[in-house]
Amino acid sequence: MNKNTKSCLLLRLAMIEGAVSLPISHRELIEKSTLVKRYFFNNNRDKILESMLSEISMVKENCCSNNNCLNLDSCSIFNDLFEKCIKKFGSELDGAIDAYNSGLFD
Amino acid sequence: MVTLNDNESIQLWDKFPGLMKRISALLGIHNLKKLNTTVFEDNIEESSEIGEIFDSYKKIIAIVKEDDFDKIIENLLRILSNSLNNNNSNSGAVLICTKCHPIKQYGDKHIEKVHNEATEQDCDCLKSCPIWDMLIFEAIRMYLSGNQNSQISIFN
Repeated sequence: MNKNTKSCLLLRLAMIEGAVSLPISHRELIEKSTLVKRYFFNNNRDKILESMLSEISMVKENCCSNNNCLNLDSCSIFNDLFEKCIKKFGSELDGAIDAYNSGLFD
Repeated sequence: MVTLNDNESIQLWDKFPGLMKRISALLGIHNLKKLNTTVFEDNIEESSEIGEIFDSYKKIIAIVKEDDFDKIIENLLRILSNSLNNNNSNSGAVLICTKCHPIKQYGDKHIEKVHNEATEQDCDCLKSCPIWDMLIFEAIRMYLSGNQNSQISIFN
């Protein structure tokens, strides 16, 4: 994996983590942070974040690296990692993923 | 953390999406580094996109106490929030990112109009940003002086 891909993924994770503590209102940041906050942060926040950091360090794919990843609207590599790490920590989270995908938090 | 109501929060993200994302990333780096320093230290140094945010983090953490990092974030939000309320004020310095929004020289008569045009959009790039640099500097100055009143405003 090239440096751009890893830095983009780290940046996305950092933004989502930081957005949880900031007053936020926008798009994927609020959607993902709200999902994590409501269902996982109380018990599994650190585990999920540690897992994401570990997964990012092992990614072998290259992303588009178009220098526009502050957009955050869509990144299949990040989304796959995010869902994988969330699902690691309990089957009850599947319902949360479904609710998220169904637009419950829109 | 500075208290913002929903309306203020939405305004901040509408007016300064790039700067708010940078602040979010800055706070996120701080939180993630507590969990796993290795991933960041090993992979950020040579990266360009996240490099400036990480440099900002290192600059802040070298000056402030670890426990006071949130105060810098609060100061950053306070400056932006004050800018919303003082949009048309003549007090304080006006910051304009001339790098990403070059100001064309039409002569002194039109400079104000050009400023408005030049700052219609916040910048989303993560390259070196003079506005971001000034924000960090001012937030640290406010922290060190204990003065919560910013001397600058963002013209947007």
